[in-house]
Amino acid sequence: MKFSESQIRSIAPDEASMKAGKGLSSKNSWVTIGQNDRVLWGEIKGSGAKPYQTQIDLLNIAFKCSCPSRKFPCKHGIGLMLVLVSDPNAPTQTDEPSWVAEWINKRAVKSEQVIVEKTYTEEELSKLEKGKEKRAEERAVAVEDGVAELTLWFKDLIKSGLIHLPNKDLSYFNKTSARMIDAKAPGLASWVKSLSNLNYASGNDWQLEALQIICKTFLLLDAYKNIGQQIEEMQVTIKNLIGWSQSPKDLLADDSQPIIKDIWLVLGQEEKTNDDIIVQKTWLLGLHTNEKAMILNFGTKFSPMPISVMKGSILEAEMVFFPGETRQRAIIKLQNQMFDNVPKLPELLEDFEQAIDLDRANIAKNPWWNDTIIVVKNVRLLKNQNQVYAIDSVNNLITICPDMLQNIVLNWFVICANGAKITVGFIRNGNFHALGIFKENNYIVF
Amino acid sequence: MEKIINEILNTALIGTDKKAADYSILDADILNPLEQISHNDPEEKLIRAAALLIYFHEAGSKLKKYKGPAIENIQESSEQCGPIFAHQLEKILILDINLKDFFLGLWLDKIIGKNQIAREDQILTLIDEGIKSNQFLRNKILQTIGEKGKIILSFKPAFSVGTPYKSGIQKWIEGSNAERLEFIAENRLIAFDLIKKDWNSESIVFKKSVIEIISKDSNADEILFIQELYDNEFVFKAKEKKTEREIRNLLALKLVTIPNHPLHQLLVDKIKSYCVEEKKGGFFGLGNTITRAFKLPEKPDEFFNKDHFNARLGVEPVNNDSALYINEVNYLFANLLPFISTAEWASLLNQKHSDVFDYFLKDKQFLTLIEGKKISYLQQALYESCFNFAERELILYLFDQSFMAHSQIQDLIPLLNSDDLLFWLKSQKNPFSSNYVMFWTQKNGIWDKSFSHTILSDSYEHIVKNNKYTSESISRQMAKFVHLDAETELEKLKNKLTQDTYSDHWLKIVYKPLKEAIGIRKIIDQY
Repeated sequence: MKFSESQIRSIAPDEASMKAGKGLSSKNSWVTIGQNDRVLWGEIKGSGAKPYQTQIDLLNIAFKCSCPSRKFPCKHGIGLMLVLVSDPNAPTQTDEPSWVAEWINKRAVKSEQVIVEKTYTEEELSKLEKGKEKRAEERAVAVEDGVAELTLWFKDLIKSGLIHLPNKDLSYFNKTSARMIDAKAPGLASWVKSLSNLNYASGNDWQLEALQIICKTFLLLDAYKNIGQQIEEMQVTIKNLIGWSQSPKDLLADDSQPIIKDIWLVLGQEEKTNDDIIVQKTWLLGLHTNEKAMILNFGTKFSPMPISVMKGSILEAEMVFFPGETRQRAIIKLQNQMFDNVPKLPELLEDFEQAIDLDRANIAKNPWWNDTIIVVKNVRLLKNQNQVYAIDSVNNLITICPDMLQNIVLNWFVICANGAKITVGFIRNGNFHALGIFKENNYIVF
Repeated sequence: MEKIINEILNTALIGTDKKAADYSILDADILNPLEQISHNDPEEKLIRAAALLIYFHEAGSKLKKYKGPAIENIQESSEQCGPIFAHQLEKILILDINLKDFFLGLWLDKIIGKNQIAREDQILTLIDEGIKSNQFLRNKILQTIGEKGKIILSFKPAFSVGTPYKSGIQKWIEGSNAERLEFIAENRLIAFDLIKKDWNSESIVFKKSVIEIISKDSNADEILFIQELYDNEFVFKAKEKKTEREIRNLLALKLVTIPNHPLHQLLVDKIKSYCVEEKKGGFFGLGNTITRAFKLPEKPDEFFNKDHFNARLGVEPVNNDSALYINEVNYLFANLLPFISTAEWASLLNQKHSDVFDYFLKDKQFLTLIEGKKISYLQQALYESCFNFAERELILYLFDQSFMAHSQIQDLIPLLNSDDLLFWLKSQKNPFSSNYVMFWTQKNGIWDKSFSHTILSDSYEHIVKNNKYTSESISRQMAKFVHLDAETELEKLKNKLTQDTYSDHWLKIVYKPLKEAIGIRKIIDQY
């Protein structure tokens, strides 16, 4: 099992932990190191009498350490993984000691456990059903009110002119956003928030961006008003966007949802903080089925993000998708094994036009669609003044968007700027964001 | 399309209250569905028109085509460094901040020396590291990032290298004074020819700096050059610059330190004439020894006069501390003392070294009353003498004198050899005061095997045996300068450890950082 430093950095809770972990990345720091197909473990001398015991579940990435750190994973977990980066032969044991076997067996049993639902009497069931219906009716009324209120708010904005937006106080947006939360429509609240997050300070780009947000939200409001006219899948999509949540637990228990078994390449990952909520998106690509999946995780600074998969990893897993008009959000139902190299190249697009066509096809089905996963071959890089461009085989030129003009693109440039044609994984959400490159049978994630 | 989008956007910005959108310019493909879904509400109609246009525009927009010249291949002329060597960079970058720059410097020097460049995935890391580093390291990093690295520097404006880095002879021809002096220090032999060639066109300040360098460890040619300068260019002139006199002082000092040099002989002969014999000694006249003492003139004479000292030795003619040197002769004698070695003084006075030092510091004729305290006006002269002759007896003697400032001790430490340093360290309360070792190391570089072993085993003794905590600064010194063969000794000491707090402390403070550092240094060394 190979890890890259970039992968490990992506799961480190902060830069300080990464640095501290690097300090423990020499095998000399460890008293023992062991590894087999399912678990990596090590013992390291700490400030206590007994060495700390660190273990990592390699199949469903998880950490456990006997140190008192509240960080997750702790520096020992990170350090132990980093040992393998610098010296894959560092583990000298393969037989799990009892403290390792106990933990890993417990995890294996837990993942196989079937959730036993409580059984209800008919009377209880009918009572539950009635309660559910009542709550659904109440919510529908609240959302309808919210939709009507937001429609009016947008119309007022257009009536008085968007030119006043930069002068609006944050409370102006927060108030409406809070009203949408009260109306049980948190999805709409996010759309309102996104208006307040535009960069009003530099240039005029915000003008078209604000109009785009208003148009898309207005379209959603219209769609909700006419939800009865939509097919069932579209109804689910609209309700999700308005703010009805989908429970991963329910999804796992729902046998009617199709399961897609494949070898999945974790193409990239992104974390964004919105109102103290950290939203993590992980994009996966099925190498055999060409299915694309997005895993959403949520965390706060007080509750760490669950580490289910690491970017750049390749895993054999069963994926189950949330229902909706377009298949996108998914969760891993069962994970079997991980691979060090890409066993098979995914379906490759010839050029950026094909990528855009794919994106457009998704938008045609779902106008609020975002994050099309694409892999384009024969991409070259060009630097002109202070901008890096990607050029495909038929000389289509795309600008690497400015927020990517950081180390990610520069690293890419350094690795590939020799005129070489490379295969690049992108996520497209209006712009192209490079996620990683394929080099021989490796995927180098940015 | 642009026109209608602008029309809609302008209306949205100004507000439908003040401006009505002109939909007549809409294409029928958009206008017809718009008419079907919009009623008479102007705001709804504008938003829907905008939505249709935005989706329509997105669906139909074409990508730009690259029409420029063929994409240039960026080829590196130097090969990348090897994987094991490259891996050391990752280890170096996580070292303690006090060690990181030092080891990074070693790593960069090696790669530059081999005319290689960094591994491609490390180039950006190096550039980012350079931003945080000093100009000196940044210049080295610039030489290791290859062509691709240089290209992406435009994205890293904080990576400022100032003036382009010069190397070799370029430093002499185009460099600043500092770079040219650096060139002399690095290429003494080649530089000497260039110095002579360009001498007449150099500034007086630069000449002084050059003489300061070449008067240390001079070869025969350089001594001839110094003699020539002393005899001609910097011979005393009635009207001369201060720097010219200072240069004469430097030249004279160099010449006087050469045994049998006429100037040396002249000074010794003259001083002899001021010596008088004294009887010292035993009981009832038994065991008397004859020693000598100085009887300095009370007023300036033919030898002890400021004009003579200025012309001959470049000594500043103005007594700048009349409280300390109460007359001109005292002032001149204090200036003369550092020109003569301790051994010579001992021979002149027929006394042991330590007695000579006592004599200079305690004899009545050398004492002055300063703030109610009698002190010898020769204190500073003795201290300066150490730099001219680096005599261990005098240095060790001065270390025990209460008038020596801490900074003065630090300045003298590099002049000792490792045995003398260890001898003195052991007499101190805190032998591992890293400052002392550090000041010695700054001049002497890598420690020899014996010094390394002693410092290592003394660290063990100090921490594990004497149960004393110590700071990490000594281990940083060890990490940088310990002899690479000391690893065996380090392991031996580790094997002697028992399970206790102080053993853990030694493991943490000494063993682990040192083991890591030796590992890195060995790979860099052997690469």
